[in-house]
Amino acid sequence: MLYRDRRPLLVFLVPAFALMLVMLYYPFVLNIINSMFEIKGMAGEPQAFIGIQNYRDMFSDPTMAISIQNSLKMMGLTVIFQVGLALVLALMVDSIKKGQQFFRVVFFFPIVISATAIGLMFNLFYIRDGGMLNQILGLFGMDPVFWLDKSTAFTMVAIPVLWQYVGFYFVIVLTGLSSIPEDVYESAAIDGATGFKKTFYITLPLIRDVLITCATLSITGAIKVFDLPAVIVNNGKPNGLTYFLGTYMHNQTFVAGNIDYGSAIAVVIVLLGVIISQTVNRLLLRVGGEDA
Amino acid sequence: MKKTLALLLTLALCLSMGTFALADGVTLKTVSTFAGTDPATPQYNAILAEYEQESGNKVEDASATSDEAWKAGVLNDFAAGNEADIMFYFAATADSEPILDKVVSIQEINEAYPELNLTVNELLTEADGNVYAIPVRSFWEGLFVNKDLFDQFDLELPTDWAKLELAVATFKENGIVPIAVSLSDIPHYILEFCILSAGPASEHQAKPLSGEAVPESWIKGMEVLRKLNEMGAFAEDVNATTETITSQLFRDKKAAMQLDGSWFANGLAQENWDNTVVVPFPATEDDADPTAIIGGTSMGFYMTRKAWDDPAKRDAAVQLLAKLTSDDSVERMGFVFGGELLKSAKRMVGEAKAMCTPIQDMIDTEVRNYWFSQAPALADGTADATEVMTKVVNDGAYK
Amino acid sequence: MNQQNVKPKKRSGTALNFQIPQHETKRPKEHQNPIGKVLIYVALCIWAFTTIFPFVWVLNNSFKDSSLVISDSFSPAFIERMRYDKYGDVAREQVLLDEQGRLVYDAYLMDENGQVLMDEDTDPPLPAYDKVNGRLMYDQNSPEVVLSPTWRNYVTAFTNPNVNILNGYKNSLIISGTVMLAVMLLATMIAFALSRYKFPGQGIVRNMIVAALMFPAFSTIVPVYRMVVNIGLFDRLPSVILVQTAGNLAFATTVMLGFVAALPKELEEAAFMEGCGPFQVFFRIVLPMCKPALATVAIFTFLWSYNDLFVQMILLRSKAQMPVCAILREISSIFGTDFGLMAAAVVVVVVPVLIIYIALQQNIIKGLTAGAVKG
Repeated sequence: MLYRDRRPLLVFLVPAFALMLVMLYYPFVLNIINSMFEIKGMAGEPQAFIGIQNYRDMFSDPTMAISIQNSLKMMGLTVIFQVGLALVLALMVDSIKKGQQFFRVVFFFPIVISATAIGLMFNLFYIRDGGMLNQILGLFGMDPVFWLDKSTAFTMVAIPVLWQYVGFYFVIVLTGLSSIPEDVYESAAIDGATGFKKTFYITLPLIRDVLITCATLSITGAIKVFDLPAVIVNNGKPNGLTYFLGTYMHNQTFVAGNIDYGSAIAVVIVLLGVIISQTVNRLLLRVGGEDA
Repeated sequence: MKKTLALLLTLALCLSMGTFALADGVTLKTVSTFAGTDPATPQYNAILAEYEQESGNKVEDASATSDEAWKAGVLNDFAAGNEADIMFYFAATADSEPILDKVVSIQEINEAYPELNLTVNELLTEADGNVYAIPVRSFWEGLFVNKDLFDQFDLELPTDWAKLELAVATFKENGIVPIAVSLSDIPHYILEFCILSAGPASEHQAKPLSGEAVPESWIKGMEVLRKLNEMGAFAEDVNATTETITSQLFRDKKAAMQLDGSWFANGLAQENWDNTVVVPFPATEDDADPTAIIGGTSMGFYMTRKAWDDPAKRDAAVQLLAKLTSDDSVERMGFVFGGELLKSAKRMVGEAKAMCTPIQDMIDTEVRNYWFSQAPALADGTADATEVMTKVVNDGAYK
Repeated sequence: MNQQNVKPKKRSGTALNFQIPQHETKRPKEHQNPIGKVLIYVALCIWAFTTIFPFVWVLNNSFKDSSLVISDSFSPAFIERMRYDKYGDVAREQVLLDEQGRLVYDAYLMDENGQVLMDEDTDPPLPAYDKVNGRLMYDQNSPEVVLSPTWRNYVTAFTNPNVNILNGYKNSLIISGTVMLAVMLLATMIAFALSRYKFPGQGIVRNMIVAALMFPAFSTIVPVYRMVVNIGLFDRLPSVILVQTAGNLAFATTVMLGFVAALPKELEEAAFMEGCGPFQVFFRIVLPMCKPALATVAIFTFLWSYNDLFVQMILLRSKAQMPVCAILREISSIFGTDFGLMAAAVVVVVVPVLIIYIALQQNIIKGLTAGAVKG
């Protein structure tokens, strides 16, 4: 009865939804259109229609290949390390009595800090002459190492990216763990399930949905990664090997002024995000069985 | 929670009231490269402040360090109709071409305001025969040398390739970085000089159109870059460091040489004026001119059409333009250094048989971005010089 | 607000429960063997170390001169000064603790980079402090430069003419504060509309909101930039506010949807019986009940808005409009080699959010349970 009169929707739904329409969906669609026209400069008018030429060009663009590779690698790593580590930490914190609160607060620290600040901090760690890591090596009498070498640069960027968001998934998983009803454990204990057995057969299946949410979030997060690489390895250094889709899109759009190509990369970012997160979602659901 | 919210809300409200306070007079928007480490920044800001005092107008300055992103930002603002009123920007280059119909020629300003008699510098004549910008400084680029380090190891100044090779080998042995540069950040100078060192200056200025033959020195020059790298002329992290760090290495005497422009001389502390000199980069090929350098006048102050057509702003903007380009301002923002450094710079510029406009100022942004992005790979040999330079030419560097 | 809505089946947490006659306690379970427990604490402390140490390191070094950060970034920011003597050499004093914890006054002539100058004939370091006579060997009237601990980095950060951090705080607070409040209100409204009303196209709206979760800022920024320019909002704070509000709505609505849908409707109906309209119901009943979920939305929206460099970087140009993060970037491009100053700048940017986080951190967990997990 209360909600039969729909006029209040004008106030509740329309302004907010209109804002999203104007600031999200409309530009999103426009961006797809832009990717099919030749455009030079951020505010340049669309010129010739070039169809899917930009998407074809991607196949012969080695930097694009590197960016996709790096972004995919980053997705895999986030699922394994961010969610994995978060799960391990959450199980551990869940099993202790004292200090739960402390660890929860502390593990979440890196998330509240801007990636820019974290990036600058890691720059101070990595600098070849007088950086923190090389000072540590120096204490042990070792020679300084060039941390952003071709072979190590990706790892060096991946570490802060992964490290920063472990706490986020940790909190979600921990919350999932603490909402498992007490009686489940009771009956499990009666059945003699203890230790790892209990974790594998009781706990994990029960927080499966939470883990899937985390995996999806971490994948969509990984494909959007921008700030940290932009600060730590600007211009994809060394040799453009550490470009991610986000940073390469930024380079093409805002540095090279190749708007249409940048827009096409943005479309690829969305497509990859949707496809991969949906696939993983389905796969995980199947692995866990439909009913659990 | 509620209290915190209320507090935040009040704070935000109070602060936003402050921002919407209106100023007297008109507000002029300016943009320039006088920011960051540019030594003329304090003077530039002081001149703007003086103008605000004198005129009662407000100036909103959006200057930033000159880099590709800055350039693109200015062009974007133009295309979007969001340009500044007075700006310091590139002139008579590929970068100025797209904005010419949105700025006012100096001749036109002089016609309307004959009493100002603004300088019409012919060096900045655009393709249409007009001059749109007033320069306040010209530039040169060269090889900066920490002379005291050369003295310390009994080395001669790197005036020819053999001396440079010896110096590189000696410094490398002694744990000093021979040439300070970040190829991932600012490969700008070294790319130009490598080409210049590998062939005649006329080839550097060849402006090949798409499909035309790539000048020989362009390819050989990129091979010089690789040769330098193989000799150990660069620091281990040359492909992944930043320009801020490498310049500091040079200033701290941890690096012996650095290719840079006249603005770099300004950033050197006075105590180094006598032990730093600048020389042309040595030639690697016989047909190259060992005195050739990169230089010219590439930037100047512009009045935008938008400000000119706005009756409320026009007088104020003209006034500001005149102030920024007055003799007094030119002197204040001009280059201020002395000692051996100044002498060597004068010698270098005076003896130069060729003063070349940088290739990168003349070519298409996308192509330039590609070329620069290949610098690290060209240096470590993972990219082929012929392939890269052919792509640069064929992708329409010059239209 | 009672917590039942948040954690319907909250376990007794850390309390042992002996209700069931079992030989083991059911919680905290079987890992009662002390070694396992110690290992767990060790592992947890190691991770905690990685999340705390970097900030301690930065904080410590923000009080040091840049030369000290390079030469030794680990020692605490203890007393260290330097003076230029009349010959142009530099004398640097270090005040250290000896093994007994006493202050030792040790001063050598050093160059600016901290290299100890050696006596050319005899080789030992040139003392700057004559221990026998208790006299300083260098000119005591020369200006003293305190290398550590020093506020100099902070002073430079706040007073340099290039960037204005205080103004940056102001901009950040205006942007992120407004975005936070707007998102809280709008997201709850959408969630309320979707979970209480039936209307044609409801499914489409719902799906569109979920789909918007997949739009990264990259995929909209170019058209948004043009739009902002066309309506004259470029380089003005409202542009960032609008874009960030829209960008955060999808996540916030998802969180609120799960929460609002689960709220018991009895109260609303009772209020309706007493003559309340839908707006009164929304503002008096629904909104207050959403507090825990709103807290999460508030925190995350604020953090993401405050830390979102990409949108700020592109929509704001002049320094007067820059929020703190953009300022930080500016500082790093100007003072990139002054490591002490960089450390101070990082601290300056981090401290406000850290304070807000610590003040509100309990709500994060409550709210996340309420929304993200369920939704």
